[in-house]
Amino acid sequence: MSSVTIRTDPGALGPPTPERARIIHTALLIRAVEERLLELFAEGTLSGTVHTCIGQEFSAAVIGDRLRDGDAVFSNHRCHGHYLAATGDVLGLIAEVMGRSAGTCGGRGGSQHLCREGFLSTGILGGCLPIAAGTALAGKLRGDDRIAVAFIGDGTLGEGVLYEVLNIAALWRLPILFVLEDNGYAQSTQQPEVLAGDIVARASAFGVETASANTWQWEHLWHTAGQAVERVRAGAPFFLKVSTYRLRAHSKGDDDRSEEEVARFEEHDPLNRIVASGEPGVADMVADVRRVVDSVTADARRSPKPLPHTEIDDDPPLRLRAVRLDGPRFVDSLHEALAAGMRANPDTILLGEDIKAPYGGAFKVTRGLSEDHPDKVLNTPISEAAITGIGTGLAMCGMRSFVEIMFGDFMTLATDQLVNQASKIAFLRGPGADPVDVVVRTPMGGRRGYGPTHSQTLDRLFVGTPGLRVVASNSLVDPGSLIAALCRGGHGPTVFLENKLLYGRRLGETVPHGFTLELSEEDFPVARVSAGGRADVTLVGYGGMADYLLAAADLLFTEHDVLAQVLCPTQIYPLRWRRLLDVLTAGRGVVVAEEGPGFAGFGSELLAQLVEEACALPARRVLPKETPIPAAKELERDVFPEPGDIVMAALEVVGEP
Amino acid sequence: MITEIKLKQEGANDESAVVLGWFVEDGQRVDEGDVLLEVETSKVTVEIQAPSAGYVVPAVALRHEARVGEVVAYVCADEGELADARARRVQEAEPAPEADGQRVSPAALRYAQEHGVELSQFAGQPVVTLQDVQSAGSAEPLSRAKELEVRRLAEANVLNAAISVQFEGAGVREFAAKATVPSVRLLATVVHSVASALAEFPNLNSWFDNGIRTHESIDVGIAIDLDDSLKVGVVHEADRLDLDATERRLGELVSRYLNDELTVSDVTGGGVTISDLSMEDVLSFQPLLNHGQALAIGLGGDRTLPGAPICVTATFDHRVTTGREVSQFLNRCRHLVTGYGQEQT
Repeated sequence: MSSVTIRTDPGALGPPTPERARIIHTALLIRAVEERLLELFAEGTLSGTVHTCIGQEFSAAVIGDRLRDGDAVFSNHRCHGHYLAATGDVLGLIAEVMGRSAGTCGGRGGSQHLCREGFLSTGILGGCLPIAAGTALAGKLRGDDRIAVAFIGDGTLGEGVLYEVLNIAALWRLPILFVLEDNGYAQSTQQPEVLAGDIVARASAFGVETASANTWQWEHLWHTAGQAVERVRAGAPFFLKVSTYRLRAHSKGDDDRSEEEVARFEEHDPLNRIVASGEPGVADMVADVRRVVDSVTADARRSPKPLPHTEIDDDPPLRLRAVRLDGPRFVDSLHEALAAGMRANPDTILLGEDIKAPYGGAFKVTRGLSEDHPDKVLNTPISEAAITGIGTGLAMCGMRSFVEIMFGDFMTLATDQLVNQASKIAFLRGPGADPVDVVVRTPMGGRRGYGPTHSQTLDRLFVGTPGLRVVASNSLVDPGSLIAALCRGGHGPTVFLENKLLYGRRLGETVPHGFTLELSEEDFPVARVSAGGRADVTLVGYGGMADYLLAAADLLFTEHDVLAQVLCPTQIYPLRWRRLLDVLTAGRGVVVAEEGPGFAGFGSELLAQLVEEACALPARRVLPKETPIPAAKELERDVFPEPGDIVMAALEVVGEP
Repeated sequence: MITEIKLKQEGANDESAVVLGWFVEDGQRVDEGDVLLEVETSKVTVEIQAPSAGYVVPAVALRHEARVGEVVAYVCADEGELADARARRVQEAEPAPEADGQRVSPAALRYAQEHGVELSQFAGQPVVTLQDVQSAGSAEPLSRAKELEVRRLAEANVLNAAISVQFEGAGVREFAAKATVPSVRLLATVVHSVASALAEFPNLNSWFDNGIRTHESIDVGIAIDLDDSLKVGVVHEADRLDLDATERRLGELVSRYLNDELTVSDVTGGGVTISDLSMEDVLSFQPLLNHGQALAIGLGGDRTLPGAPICVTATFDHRVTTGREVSQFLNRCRHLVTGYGQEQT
């Protein structure tokens, strides 16, 4: 698809139309605020740095003028102009960059991370794009005419997630406007050094309509943006390239451009020219924005410095209740819970590769669901980052999204979306804000002969990320109850792990005869299997490891007369072992077994916390070998811990030969 | 010829499949390609067809979860082979699942057989280990109701309770006053009464250690604290001594205490301990239970009150006995102690 021809009629914006005055006023305000921020930086009042858009203001001012209440704006590290144009919130911005309570995020986000209803910017290039697409999808599914606008720079053209999102936006006809501000530099690198080919042709290649404009002819930009927004509101993505020039450094003290070049653009700067032209009303506007900025700066200075938010350290005692599990197969329970969740809440959306009927997902969890809910079960391209972020965008709009990543190994491709994006939003929104209920389901684990990139246990990449919950299902807890809890919501971004060996297993079938299963009372419970609560030794693990621990407990009893209790937390992050301390130390020693890499892993964290709690029991880790996972059965078997390894470690800690 | 039909691996993640339905009867004639049965893996439902014409013998039941490689049916080339195929099916049948109930480790079972340990005493315990059997000794198993009570008490951390009986002491004091050391005789009447009553209430002469265990003889300990240090001297087999012998033994213990001559045997083996604060005019107090005992007796009294009352308090382990039993025991003690006073009058 080629670029559309845009009707240009600058005359319609000529003085003294109210639109023109409005846009110039916004641009002047943006400049005055950012110049003030630079002054505050110079006087040492700011935390961190600032990336100004001085010289680029008309992009934000013009496009902001074309938006309505309810539209959502997404931006990047250079976001001040977009924020002011979209929200008009001068105090929220200045106080935020100053690190004051009155800041839009109470000083938690700073210059690059602004978050409020209808606005989000983050410091990772392209990171907001999938979230913007998710917001657009929510609007489309709900049938309203809200649109999403995503501002990116020419530097973002190097990020793969952009192309994932362009593809999906075109395919699903999402109401999203991509605004690419091309200022010719990625930080200090000149564009020709890092960019091949044509910019708008990239978007056209996906069948996205495009147009080009610039901030020097901002009246023309206004017309173009108007038509672009109209197309988007009618239900199709649009890519608008805006050529512009940044008059100040990328950040601070990192400007290597020649003085002549910058001076030339200063002279041609549209805002400088308007001010110099003596256009009627402009002088008053200049005075007005200065007054506003002075008064708001004074307000921001008066705003108190934020106090650290202290979480109430609430560790209710562990209450275990005996449970009998003779339920269905793991995969059936998972399936039923998702089906029930979709029936109960029409805002429940499933996204993933190959999840629709007849295939129903690589492990058949979603089989048949697309037949009952054709527009709520979405087959996606193989774009893990994009679909995870789209899930986040849906969740930000109050929907329940379940993203299926076909193999846990592919989670590395979604890591930015979880670690840098989804886990930060509730934090930026502030204490008490609605959690962002995106769930990413994925199978992990080996012993299937799938080889090095389809067998790993990579949850270690996610545990320990504040704001991200990691739940590992096992055969002792009905996965349906876990999914039901996630469907109810309120848990925030959650990685939900399903071990590959579990799908065909019947729940509870590995509990040894004579042993009983107990669960704690939380949504994501701790499971304990013991012989009437007695324990010579405690075996700890999670996920697929539970069944190996149970096999070891059985062997310890029949062959060594050692009574083991098996302890399996379902929520592996956040996890405070202090709460489990009494149960954990009931025996004479602790053994923790893992399927994932041991170095800096779950077991080392457990043992470190035990030491900190002054627990002097002997302890051992049972770990896989430190090697990529081989495919051949015999080689693979040699890598992972077997029940016999756990038995040996248990005998060592209880001090029996 | 009998052809075995084995379950094939259908999905990469399934080691088994459940039999959903049989479409043929045992012994039915089928043609090649006829659908025999339908199985379900975690992913798909699969029909299993006859590989050749013949007579079918199903080898697995409906809802059976067959493992990959397991024989699910036989196809016999001719009818005469049917009996053969059915016989094979019986041989390959899985062993019956372990019956519900207790699980005893092999080593524990061997020990119990060799040492004649009754395994019924572990009723209600899900598993029995070698250590359980070895340390069982002669502990009396708890009834189900008692076991529940014990668990509740332990959870509530309230294992001990105390009950007192108080009675007029003038009579027995008068009797004791005739002795060379009246306080020793007063104590002797109580020791003798407690020992006699224990003979009637053998359950109280026991302790709790993973079950109720009974002392072999009635040995009464006496807490002696005469400004040196607290020692417990023991009147062994106190139920077999008369009052005079009891009094002599107490005198012996006191003198050995004072001369620091108490032997190991003097201070070991008490099944119940009596503490005496009656000389201090302390009417009532609650003694603490010693390890390995279910009963502790506190002897109090107050000579300044009308009737010079005496109060006998029993602290007891609620896991072993009940308030009702202890009340009866204490009343028996009272009867015996007051008896000495009446003998005199």
